[in-house]
Amino acid sequence: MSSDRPDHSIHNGDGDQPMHPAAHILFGWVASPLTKPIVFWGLGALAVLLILVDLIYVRHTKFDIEGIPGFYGIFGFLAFSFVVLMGWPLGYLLRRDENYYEDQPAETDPHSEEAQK
Amino acid sequence: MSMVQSLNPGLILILAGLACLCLPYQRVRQALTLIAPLCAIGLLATTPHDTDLATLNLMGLDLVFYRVDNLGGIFGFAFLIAAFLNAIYALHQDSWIEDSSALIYAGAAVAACFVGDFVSLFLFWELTALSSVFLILKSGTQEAYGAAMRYLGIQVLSGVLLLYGAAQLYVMGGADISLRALELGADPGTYALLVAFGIKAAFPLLHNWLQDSYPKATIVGAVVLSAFTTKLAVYVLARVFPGENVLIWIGAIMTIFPVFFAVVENDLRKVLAYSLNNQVGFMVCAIGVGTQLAINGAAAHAFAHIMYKGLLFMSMGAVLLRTGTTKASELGGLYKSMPWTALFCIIGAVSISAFPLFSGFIAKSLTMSAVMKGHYLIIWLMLLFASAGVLEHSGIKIPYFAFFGHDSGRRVKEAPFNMLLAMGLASALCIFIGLPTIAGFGHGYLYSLLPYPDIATAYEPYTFEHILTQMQLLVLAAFAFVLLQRFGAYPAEKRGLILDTDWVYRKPLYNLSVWSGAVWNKAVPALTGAIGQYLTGLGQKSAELFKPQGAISRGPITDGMAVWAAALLGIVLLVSFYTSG
Repeated sequence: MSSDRPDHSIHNGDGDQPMHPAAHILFGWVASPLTKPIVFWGLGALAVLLILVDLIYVRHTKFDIEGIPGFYGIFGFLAFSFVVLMGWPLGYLLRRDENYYEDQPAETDPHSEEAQK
Repeated sequence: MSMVQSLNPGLILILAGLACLCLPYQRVRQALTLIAPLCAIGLLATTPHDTDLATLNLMGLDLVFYRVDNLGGIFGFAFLIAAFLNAIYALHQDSWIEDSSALIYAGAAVAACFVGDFVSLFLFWELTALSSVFLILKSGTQEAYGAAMRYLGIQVLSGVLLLYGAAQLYVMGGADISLRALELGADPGTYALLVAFGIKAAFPLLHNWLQDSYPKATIVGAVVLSAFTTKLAVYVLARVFPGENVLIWIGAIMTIFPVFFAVVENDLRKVLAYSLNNQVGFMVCAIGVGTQLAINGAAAHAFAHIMYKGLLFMSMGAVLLRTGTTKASELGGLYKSMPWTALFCIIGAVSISAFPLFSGFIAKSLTMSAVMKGHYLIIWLMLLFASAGVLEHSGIKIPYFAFFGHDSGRRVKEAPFNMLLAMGLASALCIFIGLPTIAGFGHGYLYSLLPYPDIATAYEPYTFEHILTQMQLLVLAAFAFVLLQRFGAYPAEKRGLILDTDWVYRKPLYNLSVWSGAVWNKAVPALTGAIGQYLTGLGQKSAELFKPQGAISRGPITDGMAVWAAALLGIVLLVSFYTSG
């Protein structure tokens, strides 16, 4: 699928616009090789911590199911995973060619600066 | 009471919008788009509540053009703020049609919040449809034209149903057309009203006009559209059908199904349109629950939603302006060239995902608590599921695939200053109304504006339990994201069109109409041919018979017949003359 993507690096990523100065300050950390493992293990550790707190702290509950320690976390994890994984079958089932309705969708928005170049 | 105070603030915007139609000077027009919402806010702030300020009796209809109460007040106020922010967002472009259309559209939505009867509501309801269609048409592409026509047709249908419902109420309810809470099923007109509101609120199966049209609107157009139409429907639902049980289920289903479409959709503006649908579901569900806490939840959610959804559409509009596309498969790595846009987009994303300290948290808490207090377990689980879904499509997918993720290599300019200013102000609002209340700042301000301020101010969203449970939900869901990414289980963004219910009228029904048109075109000449031949033959034969040289005129009897005919005519005339006398 990636082969039929237009290659924008030829005319768009030629480096005529250098990285925005504010990007170094705001998001300089993103490019660091440490970021991925820190986010991964950091989120994992935070998740474990939040469930541990739930084991100690007794919440007031309206529903029985809600009283299970870590219920919100487990439910969130499962719900999120289910939604994302459903993307596979739904993609096969519902995805059609972009010109399926034969109304000639524009490749670039006509009002964008990209189109006016 | 002065004349000015009886002026519906929406009319100020509508008049300013009409003035924009004939103002060729860009800066003058733009000054008007900025000043009009501010004047309207000022006017609204000084208006006394709960009295009819402008009424008219027209042909036996009691029309109430201006009446402010808490419920209409918060929606109208949110619309006016949105109109102001949208005006800032549009400052970089010289487009009289978008300026004018956006103002009239916003004005119609504001005016509709302050009318007191169904007929006036119908007027402004239709005006929102008619004025906003230009925001889609202005795109100028063939697909936008098609979407605009479908949008207009569906919106006008909603208006017609509203008018039918109002007429039924007039007939059955003893000429009472005042905008009031109704019981569904008390009168057949109420079903028509529910469908009319349901179309505009984009109920499940009636929803697809939204995903069809908003992503095809102009850059500014999509931002403007995201604020008004659906939230006007939410307001009217809260006004007419509070506590209507069927809305609980409609709303809950509405929060869930768009989540799945949003996962597979590639166009990020369309993802936002699905996300809009999902958010409105929370509000509809709250209206169905109908307690004072729940109605507060719907109103607070609508207010917060108008700000952060506008903000998200603004950030995607900026991306579209600079790169020409919002397809996730074509984007990525834009934080390097559009860091401020990325930052504001993230603020919108964490707000909609309801992270503590942001507006979504304090708004959605009200609804979730109301659902729990009503002991709706299944509904509560559905809303919780949808909350994880919101994090997926709006919290993570939008910022991640546009600004981070796989670097597309695109290096563009940062968004124009006016766009950044509008996004910055919207971000500030998202944070301002989300914070814990300290010295009058924070969510206490929003809560004081809600329909039942006493109930709202007694409610505390920032309890340890609330924060703990919400953080659990969000952090573990986010952890699921990084886990799925790491193991390659997250489906890649692919180009393509995702089928939805609009398929029904864009393929089978469209093909049926094309086919029946073709049949008609063939059948009509054939039919007229056969009948025409017969008729022509008959005509020729009778002409042969009656013409001066025809069969009837021949022979010696003719002169006598002429005399007799004249005599008979004379007798008839005489008889009729004397009898009529």
